[in-house]
Amino acid sequence: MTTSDLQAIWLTALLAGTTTVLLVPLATPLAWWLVRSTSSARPVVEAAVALPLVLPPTVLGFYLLVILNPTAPVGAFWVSITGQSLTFSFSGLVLASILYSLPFMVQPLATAFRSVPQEMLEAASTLGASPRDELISVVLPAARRGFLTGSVLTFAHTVGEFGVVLMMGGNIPGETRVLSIAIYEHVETLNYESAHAMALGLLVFSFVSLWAVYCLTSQRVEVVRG
Amino acid sequence: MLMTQRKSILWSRWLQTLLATLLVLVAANTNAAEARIAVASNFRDTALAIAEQLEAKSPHRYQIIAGSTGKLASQIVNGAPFDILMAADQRRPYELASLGLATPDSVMTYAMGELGLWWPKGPDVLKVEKLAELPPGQVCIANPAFAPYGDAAMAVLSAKSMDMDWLDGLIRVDNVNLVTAWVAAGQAQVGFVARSAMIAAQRKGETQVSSDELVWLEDHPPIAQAMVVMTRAANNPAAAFWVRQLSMESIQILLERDGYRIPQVIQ
Repeated sequence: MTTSDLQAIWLTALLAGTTTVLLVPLATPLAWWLVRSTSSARPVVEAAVALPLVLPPTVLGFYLLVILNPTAPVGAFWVSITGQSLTFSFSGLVLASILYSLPFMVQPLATAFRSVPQEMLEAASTLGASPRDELISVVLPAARRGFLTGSVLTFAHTVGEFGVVLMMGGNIPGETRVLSIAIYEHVETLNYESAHAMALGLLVFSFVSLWAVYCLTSQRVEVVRG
Repeated sequence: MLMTQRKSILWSRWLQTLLATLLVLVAANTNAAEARIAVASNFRDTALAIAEQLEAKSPHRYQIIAGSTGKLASQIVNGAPFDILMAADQRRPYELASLGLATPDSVMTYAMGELGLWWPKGPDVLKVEKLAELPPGQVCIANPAFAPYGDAAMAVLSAKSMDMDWLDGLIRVDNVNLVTAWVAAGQAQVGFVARSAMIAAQRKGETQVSSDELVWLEDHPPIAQAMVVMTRAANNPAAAFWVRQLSMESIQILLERDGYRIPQVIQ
């Protein structure tokens, strides 16, 4: 494995880690709102959040390229405050990954929030807890497995990101050359040995992640049954 | 008393040495720079070799990013932070200059590419006209939409007035290196290849080619590979060093070794 491959692994871990850490505080209020809200806007928001599950990543990547490139208003604004472009940069990839992995954090959280027994919330409110107290002192601790599942899924999904990066990240070592792009480049340059090593690593990692998720969710069922 | 004096002399010497070292380090650091060089796929290995040479004789560092010329140019238009583009044509460098993204007077043709027809198990005399006898899906070219070698291949085929349906059956791959890969893997019977890609593949020991399988085409439009410095790199010493060194003999030898002809007059 070459230095640039190790750099790609590190960059991928950094991207997935940053995305996961940023998504937890963003997705928690969103998931809570989705579970509690009776607003007619809820299905619209739910559909928007779930969109990355069905949307081809190239579509998301294309729109981000159009919106974030330095000549577009949003892209130009970012350049004016940071001096760097959001397209073909690590910061741009973080933003894209947050959108791309949003449902992978929101949906497990929403499921976990929904499974908090109603009686527990009623008891808390009888004891004088405000809705905010209920969320912090009752729901969040009860939903900790949801946080774990969401974090593992978000991390793993971001590690597997390819189409979005290809569209708006390119292949810049240390900046946007993530694992999946490195594998693609190895295949293109007939470097099958390196491609095999990295692809097998990703396969094992993805399997272990999902296995962890299923272990977490099956334990939850036992707890509920117990 | 004497001891204190000696001590203070030692101290001042030590401080002087420290200061001198720091100054040298600072000076070295202000000279050292980094440049991102976006290169046409066929030029990847050569660019890596050039980077290695230049890094050995300067404090500068180079990053090589390879892709088809058209894709790299479109990435630059969309904000990709490249300092130099080593394209496989002249069109894209001039386009970037006209958009104000690159310095117009930095456009320079650095190499001339060669296009060939690689046809393992082909007829005794390899001729473009004979391709018409093959069923569709057997001939591979680089995608003319963004790869200049594919553009040149298309021009050769159009000059032989190949049938439109037959042209629709061409396998179009992302870049000219892949043409070599596809023919080598047996995915296509014939390919329009770059001499540089064939040399690179043979050097890596992946591909065996006998001379009767390969013919270099004389009548393709010239593939003038031009480079351009982006406006963002106007004050980047590493980029300036790269440009200056390209006309050096050691680099020219490298270019010829890798299958390029040197332009008559470096423009």
